[in-house]
Amino acid sequence: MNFLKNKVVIFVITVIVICIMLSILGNSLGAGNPVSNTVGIVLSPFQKIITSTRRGLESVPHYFTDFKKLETENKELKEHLSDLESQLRDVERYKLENVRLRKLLDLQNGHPDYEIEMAQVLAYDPGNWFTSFTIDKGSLTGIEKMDPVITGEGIVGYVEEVGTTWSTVVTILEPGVTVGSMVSRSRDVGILEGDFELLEKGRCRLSYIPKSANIIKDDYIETSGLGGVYPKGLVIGMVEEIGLESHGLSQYAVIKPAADLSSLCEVVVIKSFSEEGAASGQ
Amino acid sequence: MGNKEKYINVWTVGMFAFILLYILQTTLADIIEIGGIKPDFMICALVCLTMMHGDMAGAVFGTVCGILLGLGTGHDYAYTVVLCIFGAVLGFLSRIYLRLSLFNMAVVSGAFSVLINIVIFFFTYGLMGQSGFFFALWRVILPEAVYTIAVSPIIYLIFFRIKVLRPIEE
Repeated sequence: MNFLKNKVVIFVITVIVICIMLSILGNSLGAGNPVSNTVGIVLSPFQKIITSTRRGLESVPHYFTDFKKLETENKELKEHLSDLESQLRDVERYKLENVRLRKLLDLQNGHPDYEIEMAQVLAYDPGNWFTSFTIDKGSLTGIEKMDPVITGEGIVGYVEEVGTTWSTVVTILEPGVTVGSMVSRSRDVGILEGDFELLEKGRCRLSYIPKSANIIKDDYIETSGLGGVYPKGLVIGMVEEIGLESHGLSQYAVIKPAADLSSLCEVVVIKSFSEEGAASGQ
Repeated sequence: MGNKEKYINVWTVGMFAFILLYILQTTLADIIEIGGIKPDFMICALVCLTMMHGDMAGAVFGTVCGILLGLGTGHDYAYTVVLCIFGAVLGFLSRIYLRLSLFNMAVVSGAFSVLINIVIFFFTYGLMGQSGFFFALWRVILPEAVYTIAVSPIIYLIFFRIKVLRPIEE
């Protein structure tokens, strides 16, 4: 029993006994190991600090890898957005085209006697004044010189020159171009003509309006059918300004064309129409 | 510095070393995991201090080591008792047969790791009738021992550096 005098043996035996006692006590009381519990309470904050710091540091390289991933994703999304924007532009274009075509269809339905040909604008006047343009239809499709050209909104001009697959259209803004017109509301007649002074503003002039004519601002002006070039009843535009001619015998009016002549894309060429339509206006 | 102060220094530094290693072992050791196996720095520290300071240091540090390693395992008493006994025995054997050197310490750390893990396996799984000892030996116990041997020089050098591996004259 000499070894029992050894301090180490005594220590080991003490540890064993304490452990056994704590174990028995813990089991009977339903409590855990108080030593472990205390040590755990003391050490857990340090573990928490280190683990939190570690997680914080670990997120740094993730930041860079995530950044790469996000950069790629961002690039893909930008491409996707660009595609969608392109599609949206197409949709907007189709929408506007649809509106235009609907108007043209309404025009056709409203005038079954018209023989029409739809055409795309190919080129514009090379000069600074936009008064004429080229369309993609010519004699092959039956277009002839002096055929009226219109849009869903109103008249544009007439065909001045015809090629096999193309035609040149002169607009109503062109000085020297005249159109038999009348005021929609009062049926007073006049002559619409291009004017150099108004050309720049995209306006034209309605001349030879009787002094006694009932014409006011915002009156609609339409074709009278006189002259036989344009069918009767096509909208030309609206009265913007009214004045008395210098000689004082008649009135004039500044007309804003209903068709936007500065941004034409599609036009309709009226290849033929009932002479009655034109004649009735005479 | 007198012997008493040296003793206090060794015990204090040793205790703090175990606490610090335990915290690092439970928070950062998985960073250096290889194949899901991490080394046991606390075993290295225990072997190191025990081989230097003998059976009493082995028993006390073994107890501390056991309390810490047993935390949260549900086998805290078993760990405490086993490591206390193993520490004392290792200290006793070291006093007689083994001189502390890097090589000896590394080999003993490996052997100690194997022994401890076998006992743990026996008490935690073996008594519950679980088989698969050889699988555990091959997949856990031996790899951990090898890895512990590999890292044991680090602990040895750190302890040597902080002067807790200097003999205290009786």
